[in-house]
Amino acid sequence: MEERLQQISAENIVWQPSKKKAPVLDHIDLELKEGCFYGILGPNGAGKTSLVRQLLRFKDSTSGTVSLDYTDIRDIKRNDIAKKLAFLPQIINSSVDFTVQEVVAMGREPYRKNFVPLSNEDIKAIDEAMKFTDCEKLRDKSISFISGGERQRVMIARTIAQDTPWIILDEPVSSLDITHQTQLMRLLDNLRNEKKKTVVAILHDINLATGFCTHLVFMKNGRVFKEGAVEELLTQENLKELYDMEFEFIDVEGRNRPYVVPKYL
Amino acid sequence: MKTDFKWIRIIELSLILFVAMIVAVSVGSANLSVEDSLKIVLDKLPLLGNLVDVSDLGTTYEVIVWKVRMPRIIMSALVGGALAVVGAAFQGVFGNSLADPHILGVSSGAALGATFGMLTGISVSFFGLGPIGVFAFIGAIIAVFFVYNVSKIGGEISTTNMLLTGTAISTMLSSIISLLMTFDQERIDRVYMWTLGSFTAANWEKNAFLVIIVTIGVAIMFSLSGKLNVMMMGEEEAKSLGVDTVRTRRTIIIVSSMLVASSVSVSGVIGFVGLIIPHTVRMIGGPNNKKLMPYAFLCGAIFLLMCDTIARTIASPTEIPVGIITSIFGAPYFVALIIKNKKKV
Repeated sequence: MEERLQQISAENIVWQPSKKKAPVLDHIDLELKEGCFYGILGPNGAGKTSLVRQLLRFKDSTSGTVSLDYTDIRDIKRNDIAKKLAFLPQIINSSVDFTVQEVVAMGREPYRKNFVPLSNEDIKAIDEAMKFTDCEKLRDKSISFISGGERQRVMIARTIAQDTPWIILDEPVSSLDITHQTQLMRLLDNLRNEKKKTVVAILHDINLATGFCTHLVFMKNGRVFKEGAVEELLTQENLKELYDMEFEFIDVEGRNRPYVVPKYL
Repeated sequence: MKTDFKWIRIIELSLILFVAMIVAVSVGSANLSVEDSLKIVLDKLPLLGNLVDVSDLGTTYEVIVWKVRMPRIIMSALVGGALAVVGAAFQGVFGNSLADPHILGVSSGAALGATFGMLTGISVSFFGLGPIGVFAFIGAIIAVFFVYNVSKIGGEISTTNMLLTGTAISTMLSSIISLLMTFDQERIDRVYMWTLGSFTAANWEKNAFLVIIVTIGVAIMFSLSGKLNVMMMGEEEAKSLGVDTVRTRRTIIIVSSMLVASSVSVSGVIGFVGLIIPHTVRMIGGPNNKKLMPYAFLCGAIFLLMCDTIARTIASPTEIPVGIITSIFGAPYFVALIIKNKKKV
């Protein structure tokens, strides 16, 4: 990994899909630093996905600026952004019959030139990524015919092959069972520890987030209302404000942070 | 280094294409032996030409092979290849299996242009294209330009809008052709036959025009095949992998339209090649455009060349429009392939 990215900062971001509609992102200020594992939490409609779209320059903001290491993202070529930030979308299109190998190879797209076949370096990156995510056996299978958990691992392999210092994921675990959820979070944690990647993930499961993340970003009504280290943010008051619900904290042996249980009526 | 396509497949398909060409050049109202036609063709090639002696074959045969049949064979192969590549690209770009090269109204525009050329009898020519070809080309470009601009929303093309507008415009233009024909019933035959496609009017001059456009066009399409792959996974994923999706889509649509416009203006509207060839190749080799496009080009060339050979020989001396052959022989094969594929799953 030659590229480095020390921080992404959003300054005063407003995003309003059309003039008649209320802003989806309402003056967001946020600084994300390299080396952390961020979990973005918040109720549906809080603007989590919209914020991520801004960070990746999928949509132009109505006002405000996103910067990668102090350079306005609008001044960076899309291909150069793709060498710094990899993205895993919430919904994976599996209707096209690409093989696992082909999907992982797409991660090399930012580095490839027209008419030039995959280089040895590309092939090495692809093989390593598949090994890291345990996808080697799936190599020649079609992505339409593998399980949801396997597909998610393949997509992570693609982001590894993309060889970026940062990975941004939109709800990577929401369609998985509890075993696969834990496996995937552990995989992301390994990426941070072994490959020194910065991970930013939108999550819905508070306990998964507090179990693996180092930092949390709480979003509500198009604003970031709290952000910081997990220890600082994890209070009953904060969670109540975030989700409009009461929570109980339970200490579980072997777990360094309390287990969060919502109180139902 | 590792290519997505296999060189061995490319060589195999090229050999099949070459053999098909030699067989096609031998059959017809004057039958030649495959050996003799091979000699005449080799004689025309650089370097290899010195190795064969054709002095005993006589100039009549040479004229039949090189002046009459070969231009037609080359043209059918070029058009077949171009239409298949455009079909593959359109199915990818529009994310729609029914997309074919004629879907954006290019061909209806060409047909209306050609009809206009036939009915008015104005004489113009360009690159060996007669008035019909020239008007067809202009008609095709005007139609797609219109469809393209209507489908633009704030600088970005909406693919759904484009398909809908293309279909609407195609239908409207076809109706205008029918209307024109109602008023000029004497020339209905000619217009109708033109819309079914034919390579009767092939010559080397038109081929020169076609070779330039097809080479450049297909090369651009091949160069965008990796980006198209990523775009088929989704718009935002493509962006996150560094692809300028708006520009790539625009380039593919413009280059495709040029390819279709030139094909249609030399040979009329030939259906089915651009639909079934990419699907057939995809069923066998998968959706990866980096291999799909080169394979489809060769398969399209072989398929249309064979169809045209059947079209000119099966009911000789009557010529059957090649568009009829592509459908009559292509459709059953395609349906059989779908059934076979269904069993596999």
